[in-house]
Amino acid sequence: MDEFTDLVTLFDELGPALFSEDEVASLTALCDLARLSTVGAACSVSVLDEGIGELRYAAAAGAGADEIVGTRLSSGRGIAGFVAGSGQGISVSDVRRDVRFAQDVAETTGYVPTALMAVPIRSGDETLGVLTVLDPERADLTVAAGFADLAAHVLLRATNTATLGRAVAHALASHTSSVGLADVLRSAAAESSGASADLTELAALYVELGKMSTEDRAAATRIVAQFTAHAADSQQRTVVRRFRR
Amino acid sequence: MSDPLPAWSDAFELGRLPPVPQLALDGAINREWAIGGSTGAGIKLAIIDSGIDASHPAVGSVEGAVIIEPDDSEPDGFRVIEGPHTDLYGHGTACAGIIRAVAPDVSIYSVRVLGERLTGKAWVFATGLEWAIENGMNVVNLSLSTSNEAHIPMFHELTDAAAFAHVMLVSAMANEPKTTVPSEFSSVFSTASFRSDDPYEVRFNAAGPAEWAARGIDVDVAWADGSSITATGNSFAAPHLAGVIALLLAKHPGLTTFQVKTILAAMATTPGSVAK
Repeated sequence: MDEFTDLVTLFDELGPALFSEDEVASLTALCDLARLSTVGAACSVSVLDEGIGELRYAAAAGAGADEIVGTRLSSGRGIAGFVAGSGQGISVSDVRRDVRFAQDVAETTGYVPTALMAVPIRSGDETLGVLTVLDPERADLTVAAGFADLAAHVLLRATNTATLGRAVAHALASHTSSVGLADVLRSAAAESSGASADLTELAALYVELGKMSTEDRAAATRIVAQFTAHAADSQQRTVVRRFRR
Repeated sequence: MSDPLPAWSDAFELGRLPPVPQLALDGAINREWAIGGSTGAGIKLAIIDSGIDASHPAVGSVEGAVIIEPDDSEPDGFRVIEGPHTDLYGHGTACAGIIRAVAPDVSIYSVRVLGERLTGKAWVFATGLEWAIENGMNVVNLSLSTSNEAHIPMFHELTDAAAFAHVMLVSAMANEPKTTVPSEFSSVFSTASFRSDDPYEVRFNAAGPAEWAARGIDVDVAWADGSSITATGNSFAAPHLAGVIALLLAKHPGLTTFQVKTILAAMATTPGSVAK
């Protein structure tokens, strides 16, 4: 099981870094649009991994974008850390007067802003990450929050995939030949909480489905497909409602 | 024999009604009548936040302090630690500094419910609010909220209890357009921001849910380790309003929540006027 233990370590370390090229491209385009809408010098999306206690910059556009992507920051540091912790968006007109500002991180990107605004990227009551705009001429938190709502949909999909991968890897690492994989996954689900538990339970159900007849599997797939289409539709309607407010 | 009354009606029998402070008006309500000459002396004001650094020069002094934190070994799942504590982040100290500047003689109490990263659990926050109501606070500053709507019933009960106990809850609205609890309840003083140099200025929006606003843009505030920062946010507007309410209650003791709202609305800046 050594290979699975390695896999667990890999999943734990990468955490929310597991984005597809398509997801990074979506987030980068979103950053660019947010930067243009707020007339800012740069915009970034950082992803929160509460397990490790880190914010990792997953995508950015504008000044210092290439340098900031991939940077990790302790989730208690910086103005982004404040936003991740408090769940509150803020606008700071002079970062040099703010002890929360992580000057060293800004310096590594080659662009040190004067002002910034940062808003949490949230799904329900959970903070997924932070959207930050540097030197916005239009420091409007409402506009930034709109882009954060869009970013939440991309992050939620990516982090769900990563969470599922991590849970499966943990389950495989503890899987012994005397116990069925589905049982191991169920037991992992019982020990998890929130999204991780739901997704691990789902993985266990997939294992059960794999043992069924072709017809049963096809029927189950149709039901899941219909549900996900319905859920995606209602999520979109929620975003539209928020924009209209 | 008196008529049978519907439930709740017996309290309104003349002779049973509790006394209500009279406003004793000799003219229009304005800022001078409401808070002129008041320093907030005799008023207890709790700040439910990340703690307060009592040694910060902008804070002056802290009358009392309590930490409420989760503890699985306790029967209720939390413990209450009374006694001086530090500010884990700087946010509570910022609120305390603003309040001290507005109401120099108010008695400030720190109720720490947030942790090092300014995170906390909604039920710990609610327990802190309960502590403030039960310990005779007159004003409570809430520069924190939850966006989890599952907590609405719990906070609804607490904010109503506060309103009927004449405890003024000043609750910052979120900085982004999202629904937060208890900020949007009509029983609290829901507070947003405007840019101003006048720490006593109040604005009133009868349409709600952000019913009130105070100075909150680019405010120099106290922070952790004796420092200060320039900050923007509804978190910093709420303590301005809390300070003004402390001045009002010190000068006109015993006012009810809706009397305070009436007076604030009368002294609020209106379109085309300057602060009265």
